Amino acid sequence: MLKSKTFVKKTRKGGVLKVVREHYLRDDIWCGSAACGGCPQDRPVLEAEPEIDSTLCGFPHYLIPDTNVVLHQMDVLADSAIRNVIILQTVQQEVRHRSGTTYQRLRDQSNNADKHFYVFTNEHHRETYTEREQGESSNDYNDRVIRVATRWYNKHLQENRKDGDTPKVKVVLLTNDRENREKAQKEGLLAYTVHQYVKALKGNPELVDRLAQVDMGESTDSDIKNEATGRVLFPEHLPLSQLQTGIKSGRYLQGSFMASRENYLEANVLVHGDDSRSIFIQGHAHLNRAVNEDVVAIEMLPEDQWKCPSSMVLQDKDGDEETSEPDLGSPKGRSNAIPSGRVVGVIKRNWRPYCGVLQPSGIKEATRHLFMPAERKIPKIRIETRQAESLQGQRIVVSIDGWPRNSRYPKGHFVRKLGEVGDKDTENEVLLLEHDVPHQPFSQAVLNCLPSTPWGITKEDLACREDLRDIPICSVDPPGCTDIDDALHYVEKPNGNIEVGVHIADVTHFIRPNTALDQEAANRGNTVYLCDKRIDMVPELLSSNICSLRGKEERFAFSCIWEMTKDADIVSTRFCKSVICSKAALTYAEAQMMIDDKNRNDPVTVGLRGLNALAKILKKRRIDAGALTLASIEVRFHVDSETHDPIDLETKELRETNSMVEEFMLLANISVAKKILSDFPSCAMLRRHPQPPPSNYDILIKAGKSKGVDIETDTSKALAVSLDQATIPGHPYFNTLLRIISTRCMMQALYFCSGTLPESDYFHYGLATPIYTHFTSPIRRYSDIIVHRLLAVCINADKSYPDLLDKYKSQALCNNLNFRHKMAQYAGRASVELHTQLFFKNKVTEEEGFVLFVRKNAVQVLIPKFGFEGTIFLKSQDGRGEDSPFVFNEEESSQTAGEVKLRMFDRVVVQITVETSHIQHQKLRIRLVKPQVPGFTVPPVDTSNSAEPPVKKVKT
Amino acid sequence: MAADFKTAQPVEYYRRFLKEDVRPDGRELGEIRHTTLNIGSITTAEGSALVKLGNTTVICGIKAELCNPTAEEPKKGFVVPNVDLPPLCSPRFRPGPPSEQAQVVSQLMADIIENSGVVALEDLCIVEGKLCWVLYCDMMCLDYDGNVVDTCVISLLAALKNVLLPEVTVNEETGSPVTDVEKKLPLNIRKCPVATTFGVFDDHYLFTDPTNEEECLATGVLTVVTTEDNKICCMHKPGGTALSESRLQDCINRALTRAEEVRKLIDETINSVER
Amino acid sequence: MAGLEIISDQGYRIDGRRSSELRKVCARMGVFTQADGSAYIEQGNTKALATVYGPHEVRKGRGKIQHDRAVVNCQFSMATFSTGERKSRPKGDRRSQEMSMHLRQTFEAVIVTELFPRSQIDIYVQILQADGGNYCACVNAATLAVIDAGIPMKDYVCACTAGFIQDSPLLDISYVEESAGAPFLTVAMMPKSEQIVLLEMNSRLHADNMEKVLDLATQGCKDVFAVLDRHVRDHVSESHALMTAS
Repeated sequence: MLKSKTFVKKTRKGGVLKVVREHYLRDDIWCGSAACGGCPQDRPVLEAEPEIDSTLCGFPHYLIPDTNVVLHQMDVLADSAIRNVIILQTVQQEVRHRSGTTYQRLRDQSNNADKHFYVFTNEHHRETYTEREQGESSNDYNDRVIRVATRWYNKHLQENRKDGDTPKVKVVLLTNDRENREKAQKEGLLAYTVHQYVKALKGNPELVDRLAQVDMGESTDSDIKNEATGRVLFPEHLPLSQLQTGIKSGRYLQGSFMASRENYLEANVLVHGDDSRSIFIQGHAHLNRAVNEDVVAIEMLPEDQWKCPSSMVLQDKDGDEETSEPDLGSPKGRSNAIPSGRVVGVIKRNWRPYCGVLQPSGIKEATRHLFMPAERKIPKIRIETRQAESLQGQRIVVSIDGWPRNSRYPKGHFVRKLGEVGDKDTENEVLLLEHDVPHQPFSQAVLNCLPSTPWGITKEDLACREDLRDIPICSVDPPGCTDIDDALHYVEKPNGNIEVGVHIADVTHFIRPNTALDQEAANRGNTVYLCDKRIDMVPELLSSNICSLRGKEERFAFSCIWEMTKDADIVSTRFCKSVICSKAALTYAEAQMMIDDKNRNDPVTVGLRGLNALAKILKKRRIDAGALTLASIEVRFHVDSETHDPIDLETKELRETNSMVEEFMLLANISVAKKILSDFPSCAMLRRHPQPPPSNYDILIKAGKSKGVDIETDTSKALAVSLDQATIPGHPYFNTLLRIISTRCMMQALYFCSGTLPESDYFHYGLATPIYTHFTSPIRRYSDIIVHRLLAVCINADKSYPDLLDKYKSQALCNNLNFRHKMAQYAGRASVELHTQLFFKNKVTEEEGFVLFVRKNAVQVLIPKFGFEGTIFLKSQDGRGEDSPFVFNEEESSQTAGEVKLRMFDRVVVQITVETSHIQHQKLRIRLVKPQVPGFTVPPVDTSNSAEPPVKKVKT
Repeated sequence: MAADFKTAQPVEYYRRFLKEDVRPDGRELGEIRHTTLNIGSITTAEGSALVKLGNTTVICGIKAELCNPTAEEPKKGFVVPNVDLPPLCSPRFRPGPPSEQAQVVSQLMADIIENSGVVALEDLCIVEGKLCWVLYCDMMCLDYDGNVVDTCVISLLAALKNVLLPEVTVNEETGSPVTDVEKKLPLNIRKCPVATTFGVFDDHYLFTDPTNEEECLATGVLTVVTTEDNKICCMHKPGGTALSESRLQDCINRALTRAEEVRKLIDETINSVER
Repeated sequence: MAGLEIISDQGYRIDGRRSSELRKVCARMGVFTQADGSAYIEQGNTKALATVYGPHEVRKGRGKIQHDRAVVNCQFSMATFSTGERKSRPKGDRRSQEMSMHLRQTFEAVIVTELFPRSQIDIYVQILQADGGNYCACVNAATLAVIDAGIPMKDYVCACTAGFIQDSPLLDISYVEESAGAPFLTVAMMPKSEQIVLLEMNSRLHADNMEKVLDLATQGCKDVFAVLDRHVRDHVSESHALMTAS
């Protein structure tokens, strides 16, 4: 029941729609302070005697930050030194409205008991509710509301002191708004700027570095001109309201800003609502301070000002404040100009903390420094720090605070130190952070959800599961695999048909919905594989032991069992929860050997042969349907057992058994997808792979043409056929290169919830199947866990739960899984890159490579042996390379130097070294050895051990 | 005894009273029932008023919407009145389509709005030929005890005076209306029409503000609507007993004084409601 | 990006209530003269009016006459100005007809109709302002009006909504909360005997959550009952005082 609540009606008008809301004021909202004897509260959040040593506020006090302080100085507030903070509801709501990520961080603070952050619902408190005055701007109003609450707290704490002994606790308002501060001081409140407050703290000098440099960012236009330099480098950003009307009228376009990795002066904006539309942006002024992944508003340039991507690889080298731009214009080829635009405003910044290093500064005592992010799409950031010296050679994390119009670089502040550059653990940490991979050890709450060990199967378990322990089941995986999530079996039936089973680890038996373990796994989304490290989605006890279908151990499985004819036609499909006992955990090589060994005829071997035969039929059928076989080169590092440094690397070899396992996993996934979709038409979790828009194939078609090969791209079938036919005598690697290029034309495959899309969009292009999902790897993918749960409900093996059947929540989950999946891939690649660098450290290697792309000032070369791609710069980066012997021919995509012409697919020999001169970015340096160009190429290494590299046998 | 007499011979019963210059409810012939006013009680409406005239209760809610003006009158907005006499308010009314009486009163309201010029339709125009306001004035009788016309007019006028419209401008670029949330403007009320209704009994007795009972017995009814400059903007006499000119003049004089009282009441009430 | 936060981490809803609190209820009985019984109720910003006529002889369509009991006739309508966007049809649309039907079913179940064979009871309800829980306000107003009319009922009928939003059950949900698109349950019950007269839900709610929501709604109905009962008693003692005074 409502107690004595007077209420005030708030009328908010939007359009001509009159919205009326009630607003109740309460007298049962407590102050949250342990020093208060007046409020009948259970567990006060704020400490009775808050201690913080300060020259400015040398008395016990609580802090009340205003909205901008929370928004900009979260790094300070999140520091463990800052405790006992009152977050007003007004501030919290405004923060929520303005920045989702900051809001989340703020919530984390309030949930952290050690931080003593208390959220005070001031707008519903009878004594702190403040009515907006007529003509008062919303900013002024909010400031006033905050002052009212501050005043109330001071008064309340004074009047309700518990007893005489406790010290008087005061409340300090933190605001960087001068007017607000002056008004507060006039009202007798204690008010300081964050900077004043933090600088006065004793014993936490490093906190000063974390202060965001936003004062200038907040300043208005006139302030900018008053600044010393007086220069304005960038056009003004239009206010949000103007952007919104402009977008509505179609004058501006809204889109995601995607900075180019190759050229820091170029970017593309992916227009929202029209996936295939991408607008090109070039040059400082047009990029206009947008940072990668921001949501921006752009204006199209008139067609005669359209630009053409410079096909140049350009890195921001000069550290000075000059804005001189290298000439990017394409001399000829207006015809190549593509729709171009300029950024007129930023709708939403998507800044995050960035990893990187400090650029060495000439002056020792300087406090202003440039920070170079590890991600090349992010501009350098100017920060202020007094500990520059100790930060040299360290990987650090920096946040952007703002980007004033008169600053060449965005301004930011130091967040924390990760470790030494080049150190493997530090670099691993960097790449995990950069890819937002959650990698903290599992919390106690998560570990508490695990079954107790030793774990065994009970009678009750057996009663509700099919007993398949006598069936000859085996698993086939890569060597060293400890998280075995699938196993297979093959048994001939008396009627001449065959029973084939796919058995998947029954992870959902252990991971129950909405437990801490489940939530952690859902957040992690998947297991991330780095070269020397695996970041598990679920704790090791599950992933490598209880769930892992190890050989000769009894395990729970979720089985998908088909009855098939000898021609691999499915007669019937059934699903069941089971208990299995794998007869053998094989590697691909072992399985292959067993199949090939004519003398072996045990049930497992016979089964493998049968499976292999069926798999071939299935594969042929799939390829006939138009499934694509694409190529990418995967490498495996041999790691020194002690230093964990890579000592050798090999490309992964594909055997028949790989494809055998893959075929049955595909089949199981498809069967499960059909089942869950038929039972849950609106909330089945599926995986789709959209057909790429035709323009994606331009590069492939062009590449084919350069060698006189026609590539059809109308359907996946046509593409598959023409890829099969694309061979050139004497160039065995050509086909693989083409397939590598085709891979880059593809779209990302995505998880989605079936209720959110029309059925025609369910299609999986790459696999040429109308419907697909992931069922077979629940140990390392969360999507499979959801699919398991859905399937378990379908067969009445388990109960459903609310979130499982909520399509919006499912879709939100899919979005996270898609993001994590993408990031896991990137992290994996980055890890390979890192290890490749470590591998080449202190070595000079020569290797065969193939030209993959020809750019204006560089060629990109693929080195198959090491599975990586490198750039050979032919001209200096500013594009003014008069000294270079190479001439670029855009139409032909070639670079010519005298006799030598480099074109796509050409074989070259390159020399690989690690460039260590630049401490900030250690990178591989690739130089041309053959064909020789006098004055440009480097001579072959004169050693006996690196003879002519062996020509690799290429598998297509 | 009296009740039996009333039921058996209502006309005679009534005549006895009128002979003594008094009415069964104790009023004098020219006396009008106590009028109470509650303005702005419906917050979902742009303007609203609840009026009680004796027991007769009418609520008027005004909703504003944006629309396009007609091609013939591109500079004018619209005011659309409607009177609802739902079965809720009296056993006289049955569920179903609007009764004849409801339609007559609705039309009368439309006439009063037009003739009095209470709101200049030009004031409702935002962009000529493009955008204008339409004010839907819905009056609903909640308790029917006669003289619904006078009550409706008071509720309409009070509600109109209560209307606050957000300032709307048209974005030149998009052509779409932009609403200023902060700025709300009252309507320009140009005239204040007030209606006074008289009942005629036996071609002889003239009394103001008839109750339901009196309406049933009356041989004729006359409504006079006047504005503050002492002009008559509407007269409504749906048949019944004829009236002499001098009688009519009496009615008009009574109507003028009554209108003054009502306008005072509305202004006082509005001033007492804080916006 | 950031939609409305229906309930804050601190447990307050948009309007400042906690999850199991009703809105402020104001009620008045006997507000009109023409009707045999009438009542007006405000539940927060939802304002409803109910009048009752009868029992009287069956009008229109003698076929409807029931020889063993009275016919209950209900009509629900919403004023055109009751919602943010003007309602072009105050009654007779599908939703209103459905509401009318629900009301009739509800009151047929609680009025002791056997006492008035071959007669008819009319219940008219009018929403003057809508802010969620329209049906409930109507039922509660109608209960008071029926009591005011002196028609015997087996028990009060009290109605209340409860929703399930952001994973927590919320009592007496307002229009903003309704529009959040989450499932909500409307319950009308006889609070003394705890019998549910009407239960309606039009969206999907997982069975696991149903119990929590239903429990909350039931509690809500009892809370409503407490308020209504107090009003009825106050009203009766007031009228009694008036009668004895005169």
